[in-house]
Amino acid sequence: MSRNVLDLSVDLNGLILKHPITVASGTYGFGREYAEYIDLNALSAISVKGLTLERREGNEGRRMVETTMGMLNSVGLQNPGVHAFIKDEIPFLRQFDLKIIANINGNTIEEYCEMANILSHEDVDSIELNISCPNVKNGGLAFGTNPKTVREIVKAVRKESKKHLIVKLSPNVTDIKEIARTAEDEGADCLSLINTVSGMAIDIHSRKPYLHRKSGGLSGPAIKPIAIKLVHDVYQSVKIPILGMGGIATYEDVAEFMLAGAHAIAIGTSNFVNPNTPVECLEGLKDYMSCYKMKDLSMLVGKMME
Amino acid sequence: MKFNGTVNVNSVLFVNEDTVQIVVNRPNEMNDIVPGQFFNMIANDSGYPMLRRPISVSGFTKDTIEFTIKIVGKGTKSLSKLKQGDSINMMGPLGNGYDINNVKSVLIIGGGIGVAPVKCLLETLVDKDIVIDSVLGYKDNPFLEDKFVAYSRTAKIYSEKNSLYHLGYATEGVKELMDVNTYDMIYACGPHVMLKSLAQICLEKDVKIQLLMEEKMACGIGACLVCTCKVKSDEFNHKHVRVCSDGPMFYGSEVIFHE
Repeated sequence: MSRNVLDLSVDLNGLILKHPITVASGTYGFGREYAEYIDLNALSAISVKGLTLERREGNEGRRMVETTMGMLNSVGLQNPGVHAFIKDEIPFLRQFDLKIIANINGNTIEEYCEMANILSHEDVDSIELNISCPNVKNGGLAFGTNPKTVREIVKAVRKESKKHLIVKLSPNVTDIKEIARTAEDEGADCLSLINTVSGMAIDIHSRKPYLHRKSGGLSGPAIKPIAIKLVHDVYQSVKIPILGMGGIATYEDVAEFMLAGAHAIAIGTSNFVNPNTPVECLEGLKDYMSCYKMKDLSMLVGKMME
Repeated sequence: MKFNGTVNVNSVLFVNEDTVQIVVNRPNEMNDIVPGQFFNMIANDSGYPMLRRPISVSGFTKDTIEFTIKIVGKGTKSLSKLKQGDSINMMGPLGNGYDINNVKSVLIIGGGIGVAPVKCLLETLVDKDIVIDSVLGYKDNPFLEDKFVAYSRTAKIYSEKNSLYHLGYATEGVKELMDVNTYDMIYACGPHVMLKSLAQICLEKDVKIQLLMEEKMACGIGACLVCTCKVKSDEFNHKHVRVCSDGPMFYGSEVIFHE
């Protein structure tokens, strides 16, 4: 089957990707570890481990429990800080043909703004505003679940930086459409969704929660139907493009996200199981598109039939 | 590139009702193995459970790798159901194993399934003109103890239940041996509570001990940050380092134990 005519490039409203397969923040570190298992040039973009202004040691005690087709994590944004990222990790990632998305987190709106300002002058291709991390005491999810604070934070960060801006949305909300429209109104270039789903698991023998912080964020194939529904809902509500994620493990999952309205996708938890997942998804997507005689992604994105 | 691929199961042998020994073929392109290292593995096409399981090497030759696995949950259960000729997908060898350079007199300690990785260590240290003493501790009947008995100057075996052996905990035998002998390195693997008290004993006696730490893992290669060990840090009060890629071997003097 000839695939020569396929155009897989995608423009996320200013962030141009060579193809739609990226990797999700928090699942790929800064790429170094996976470089020993796959050619990082195979990725179109990496959203790096969630950054904070200062280094963080993350949460104490047990941080992960596997659940049915998923895992709960409670890492708590352990990272070397934005300055170490700039000094040590950007030069490493620049050896590869991929776009760098800096995922930023703060305790306060001022911290988010300071980070956005710092990164404006650095060699990153996009800033992903993480207002949906469930595993930290301050900030994170607290910002992302209230349309009023979403408005404030996106507006403030937009003022600080002209970089391509992605706002990462939480599934843990009553009406994601309102949150999505608010982020769009305030100047987000793209939306990424979904972050992990809040969850908990209890050891029936010790009667204690497995995770030291009791609850964590659920990821993996278990959350895919939730993500598909929310991508669909957001696609109906905004004009800016969507970077879809949540349990993607196969090319079929990729195609499903795109039919629901994702312009590009990110692979997360599946990287842990099979580091070759991004490559296999890309190859499978090409075959799928060829099979249905699609020439480019516009023939797939949002083309779910009702 | 590090090894990430499929290997064939050569043999499967139950060493007791909940512990299975699986020997797989060792691909030529694989890196050298150091005792204490592990592989992150999943029975091929199992689909469930989702994540790989990190399993320490309990022995290796130039053609084979042996794993001794205690069945504790769904992942290890699925590995225990493998048959000769089946395949396993595995990544590795992973992590930093035991440092065995420049040792002349060592004490090896294994507790429960923690005996598996130190058996690999023992096999690597024999025939190297090194004095080896060992202490093994079990809840019930011993397993993998033969070579320790054969190759150690002194081998003490403890059981919490079986009076054919020393009744009690391995730590008692460790104290006795350390009172009469000097060692330039102590190696241990076992339950957290055992490693914690061994680290304390060695701190008091000012002897170096290398511990093999265990934690639930996802990626196994240092990216996901779920398997942390709390260690002392000069620069910061403490640091969370990765058991999978910064360990699993840590010196007793650097670990901050919980509980």
